[in-house]
Amino acid sequence: MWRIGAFTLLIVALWFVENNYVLNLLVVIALQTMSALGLSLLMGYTGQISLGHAAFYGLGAYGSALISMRLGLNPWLSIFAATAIVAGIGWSLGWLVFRLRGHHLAMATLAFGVIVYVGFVELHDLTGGPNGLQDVPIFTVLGTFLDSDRLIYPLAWGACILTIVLAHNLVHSPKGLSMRSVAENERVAASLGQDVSALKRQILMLSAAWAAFAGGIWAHYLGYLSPNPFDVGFSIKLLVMVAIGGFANIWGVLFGVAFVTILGQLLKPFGFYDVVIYGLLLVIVMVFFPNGLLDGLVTLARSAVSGLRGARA
Amino acid sequence: MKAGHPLLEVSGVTVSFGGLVALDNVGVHVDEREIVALIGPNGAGKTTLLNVLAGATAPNSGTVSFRGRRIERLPAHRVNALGIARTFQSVELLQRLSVRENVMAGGVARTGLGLGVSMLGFGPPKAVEARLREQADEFLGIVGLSQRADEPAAILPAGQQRLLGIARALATGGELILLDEPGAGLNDIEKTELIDVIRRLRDNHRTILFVEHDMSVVGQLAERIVVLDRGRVIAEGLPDDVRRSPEVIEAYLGQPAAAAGARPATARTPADARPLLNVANLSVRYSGLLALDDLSLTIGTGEIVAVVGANGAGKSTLLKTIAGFVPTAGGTIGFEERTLNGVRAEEIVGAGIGMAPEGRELFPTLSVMDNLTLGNYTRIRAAGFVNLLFRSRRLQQQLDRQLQTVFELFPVLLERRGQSAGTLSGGQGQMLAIGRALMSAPKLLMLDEPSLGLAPQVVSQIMATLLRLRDDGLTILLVEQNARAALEIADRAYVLAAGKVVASGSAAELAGDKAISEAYLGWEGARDTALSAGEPAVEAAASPGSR
Repeated sequence: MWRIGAFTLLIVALWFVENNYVLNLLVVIALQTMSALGLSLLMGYTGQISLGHAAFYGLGAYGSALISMRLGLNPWLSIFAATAIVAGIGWSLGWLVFRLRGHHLAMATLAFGVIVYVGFVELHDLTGGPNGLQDVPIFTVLGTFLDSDRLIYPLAWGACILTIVLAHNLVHSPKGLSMRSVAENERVAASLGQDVSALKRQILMLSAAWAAFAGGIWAHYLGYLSPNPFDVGFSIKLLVMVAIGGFANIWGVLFGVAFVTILGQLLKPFGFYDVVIYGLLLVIVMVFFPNGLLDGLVTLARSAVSGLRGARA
Repeated sequence: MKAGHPLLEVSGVTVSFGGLVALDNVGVHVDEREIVALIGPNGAGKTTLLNVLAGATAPNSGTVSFRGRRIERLPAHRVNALGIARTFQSVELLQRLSVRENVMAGGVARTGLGLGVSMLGFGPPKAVEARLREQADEFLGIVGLSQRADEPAAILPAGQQRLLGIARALATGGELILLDEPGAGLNDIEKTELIDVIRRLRDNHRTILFVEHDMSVVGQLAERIVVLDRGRVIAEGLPDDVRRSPEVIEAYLGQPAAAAGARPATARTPADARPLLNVANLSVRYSGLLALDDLSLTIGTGEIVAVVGANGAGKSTLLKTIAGFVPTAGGTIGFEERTLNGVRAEEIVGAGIGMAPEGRELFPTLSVMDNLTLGNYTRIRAAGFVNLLFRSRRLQQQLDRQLQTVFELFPVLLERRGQSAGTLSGGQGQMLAIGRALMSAPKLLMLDEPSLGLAPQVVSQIMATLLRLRDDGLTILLVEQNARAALEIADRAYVLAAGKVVASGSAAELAGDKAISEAYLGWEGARDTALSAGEPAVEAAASPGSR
């Protein structure tokens, strides 16, 4: 818990940074962390792959934007409505795909991601097609529009820190033991009375809801939407973030998101070829740092330190 | 048998996988607070029955009632919630959890803790966790593992892993505990501890049904024994009666292969055969379980050597270790002039050791011809990468020669060369497995349970083929549960029990030796390590006229 306290203090301190570029990056990190944490609960802790997580993020964004635009609902309400709907979609998808395992599950979730993305592009009347949606309502607090990085920052990080706390509590609760036993061995989990498919559905539902909520914040913060950020590439990017974080490691995921987001800025000159570098990164991390880059670097540092000590002795 | 309503009642249960009937109209009952052993040779259907009881496999027909309630269609987690808990043959601990967490994981489902409430860092999840922890410590106390509660489960030695598996099953609130081979891989001290624990469970109002190959455990624990063979209950009753039953003895030792006549009068002895394979002081461990224990054996060129013993004795492990699939924990494997320790499996094939694995392991979607050609892969590959695309003429000729040899041995494979391997019958599949192993032109052919699941005539046919191969100069290492069939064609044999050689000698001598039936069905060994003489059941088993 002291970590969360210290981290919150750090985030509050960073709010005072006089640099919009940095603040913008931090907001992006907060929103992506929420999605990546959900994926980590699903993949790392419960052992189920999802290659279509961007779809939940996108559905949350488009859903909340459309509800507020078409039904005239306040964004503060539409975001919760959209999150609830996407949670339902996550649960139903789980009902459909969790009869599959391994590669087949990966393919099915990938297909879900592709279908949703194609929907964003092709349903012109609803989503505006490739041009996207303009004039998505902006959040307001007491008549003030949250239209700058500095103003959206408390909302984004408040939600993100809440997600971190919830995720942390969940994995350390008895339910977390259930999740870990399902991840390790479904046959054993079932023999211990655990309803394996129900648990998987619940976790997918939860992680879909978190991604959707982050997507909603994103939509009402930017004020416009286009399909591109929600393509399969983003799903893969989330996967890379979770992998770098070490899959089942909440703070590791935060590190993974920050690492990939900052790397993304450095890779801007490469244009579309950045995907190649993400791919390479994923391979390197999986092969050399199966417990995540953070863990790997810490281990390396430790052995270097003890090596130095040994040399001195 | 006690009067009253049985706790568990199984009747008419049939399970088939594809064409294979694993359980055939099985009826079993277990009374409250009984300790019942379920025994039978490899492939008898014991684990399948356990899976049916635990809800992991749904039967094709028949009923299972627990406390008068039908459970045969319920999924595993519902069956568990009703009070049936199980352990697994391979223990299946949750490796990344601590000892205590493994037990706690067993209790979570019963608490009914929801997802939403679990995300609170206070209140119900904390209370539930405290209760689970307390319960876990209690169950760990029952199995005597309190000292190791905080250690990672993965580092426990074999005996304690089994005990942890039992504690975990108890934590689910099970009243009927199904144990799948609780004694497998345990040493004598660990077995004694296990037996104590199981008796203590019964004193705590639990009912036990256990599958076991280790007859010393069965002999000390079971109040009643049910014997399965080929999916049917062939005997049931008090331990000593069951052990004397001729059907049981035959089920364990198998029938003679009746390949007589083909057997040459001059059985070769190791003295006049140059050693081809020399295994010295070999030990193998599976995550703590000692599977082979300081085992030594030699095979001379041109011999058929049989390795017999009960399930779990380490026979298959021996073959897999020689074939390079399993790393050694000690000792050496010498083949011709070289040492095979640490050599990769495909190189071992290249060195001249072919294997027809247990369960055949064919490529079911490939044709018979393709399966055979793949058996030749190492040779093709050794001739250079290009040969995978275009075989040189020399290679093609060599392949054709090898194919011809196989087709001469097994004409049925020639008839069916275009058929996919998955559609072959059991016997044809076994022939293909042997044929595929022969395609690499091995000097040593290893066979793992070639008679498994086959009709006696087919077994005879295959055994006769092995004799032919031997006469053509091939050396054969044959692992068999069907000891009688194996001893009939072998020159020499080794009897394995608990990863050790307990007897060896010429096949003819061993065929009449009580050491064999002792290795399969004996439980006197536990009380008295020297094989005691004059045990009537053993003599009945050993005399060929007993069937």
